[in-house]
Amino acid sequence: MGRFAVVGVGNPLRGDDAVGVHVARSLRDKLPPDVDIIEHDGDVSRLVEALRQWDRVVIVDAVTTGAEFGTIHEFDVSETPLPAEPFRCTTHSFGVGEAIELARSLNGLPRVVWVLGIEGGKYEIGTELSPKVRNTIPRVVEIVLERIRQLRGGGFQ
Amino acid sequence: MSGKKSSATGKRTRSRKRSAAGDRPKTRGKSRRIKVDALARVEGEGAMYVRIHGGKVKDVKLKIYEPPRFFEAFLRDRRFTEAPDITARICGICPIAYQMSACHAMEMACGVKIQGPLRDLRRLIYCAEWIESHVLHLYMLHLPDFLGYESAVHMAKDYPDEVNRALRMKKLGNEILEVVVGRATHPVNVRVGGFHRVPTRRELQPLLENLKTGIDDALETVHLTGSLEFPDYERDYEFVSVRHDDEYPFNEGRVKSNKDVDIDVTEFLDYFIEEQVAHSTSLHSRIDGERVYLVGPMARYNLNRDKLTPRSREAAKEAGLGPVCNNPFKSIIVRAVEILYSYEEAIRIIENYERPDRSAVDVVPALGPGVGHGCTEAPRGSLYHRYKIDDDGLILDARIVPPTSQNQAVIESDLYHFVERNLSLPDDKLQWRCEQAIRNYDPCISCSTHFLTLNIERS
Repeated sequence: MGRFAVVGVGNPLRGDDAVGVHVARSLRDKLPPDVDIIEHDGDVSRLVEALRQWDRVVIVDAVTTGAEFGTIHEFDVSETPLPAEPFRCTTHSFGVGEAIELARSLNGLPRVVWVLGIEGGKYEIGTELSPKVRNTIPRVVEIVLERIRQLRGGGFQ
Repeated sequence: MSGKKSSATGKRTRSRKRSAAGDRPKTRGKSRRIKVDALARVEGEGAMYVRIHGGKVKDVKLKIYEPPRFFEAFLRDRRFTEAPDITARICGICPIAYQMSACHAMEMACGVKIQGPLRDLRRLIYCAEWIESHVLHLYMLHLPDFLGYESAVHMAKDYPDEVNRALRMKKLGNEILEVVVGRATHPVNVRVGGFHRVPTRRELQPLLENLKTGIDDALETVHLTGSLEFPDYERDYEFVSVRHDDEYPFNEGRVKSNKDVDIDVTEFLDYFIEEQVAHSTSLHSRIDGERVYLVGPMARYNLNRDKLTPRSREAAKEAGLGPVCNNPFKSIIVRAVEILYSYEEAIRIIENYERPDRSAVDVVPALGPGVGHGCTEAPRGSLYHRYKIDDDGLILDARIVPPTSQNQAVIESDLYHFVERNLSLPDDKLQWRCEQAIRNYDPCISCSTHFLTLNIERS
């Protein structure tokens, strides 16, 4: 297990909800071996358990804020919670926001946690991302790579 | 205590701890209306509406607005072997229950009965599902009500040991499922007739060690729930559960009640009649179309207490449970006892496990149309499936009666009686108690929709 991780959260079968997973897959072979790349279904108890093991983490998930589809939101949640509402689109009323706060309450939050939220539009059952969301993936991958460079404090190819 | 009081209109403030005192009742004339448009800490989406007029409760509705998903319709023309995997997707919390009821129904339709280690493995995965589901509901959804917190996240700051214990227990449930059925959510290894692959004794060994060291967590959970304060509230319920001659029920037995129901699974639909109600996308179910009944942990405990292990029975007694529990708020203790039982039963099964030579028995459709019934005990209560299949094994007709739709009527009647006895409470406190009364049943709206939000109206 590395000290760093990128966690792509989402359900690959729920339209734009899958964007985090697609970003994680696109990052394969682009990151050094001390960076874990995780595809996660967002289950809160498992996400809290997972977060305990890393020092610095970037989490990628779909969000709904009312902004235009494909908008990329960035939050540093190391010290302060996510704005509550945008991450409430997951089922069973728990989401990434709750997992982060539960981990924080239990002193199990990595030292640095960045969340990249990609504005999704369609969450119907199916494997297709909407085109605007799909088109953001290269840009999100670039942002993640840039953040990981900052977090590791050194460059990599 | 800090933070704002939660409002009675449904929109919650994110206070760290709930107000214990609350505001005075807001009486506009003599009319009160309590409304929760989106119930928190339940599985799925639904709402509650209570109308009070002249000091009397006039109307209570548990509204379920999740869209129906038509599972019963799209099962038609699928192969009988597909039912366990298709119906498992009805619920992300209790897929094992769906798989078990489907398998048992199909096996009955084909005249096959599963015995020995395969039957034991089915009980083992049911133990794991009860542990996962009960731990999630007990600690994360229900306990914050008793300790006065808005949510588990807020509770975790003051009760980190308890929340860490919950995560540990849920993880153990996950591990059992990962080993036996491939993964914790959406298991892939169950089939009609048994399993695609059965685990070796060696694969189960680490689980046995974790269960044995983890059983203290289960005991602590029973002690914790026994130390909580409960509203003085009891009713004369009709409890319905599967009952088996030799064991606490998971997969098999007669369907019984504490009144006069004592039937074979095949007679289920003759006694339990489902009806449409306008305010819910979930069907309501009544005995003989009239009598409201209760399924789930309390019903199981009341009808099967004698089948618990001595240790679980003793722990229940120490936690303050009598031979019969009629206080739905104490269902949290019963869940804890069932978690302890599941640990013990899982240990027993693994210790005695001998890997069978074959992972499944052959199940072949009989000549001519066959009918099969399955009723197994999902974490939330009895889950009934019935299928008709043709001699090519295609499904002609499917009926599924999930626990939450059976409990809707009793949840509504609990709310009715509870509000009537507690009219002096201020709206915000009454609303909180009503939500707690709903959570006593761990309603799974996703399953029953074929679910929740809260409204109390006083006039």
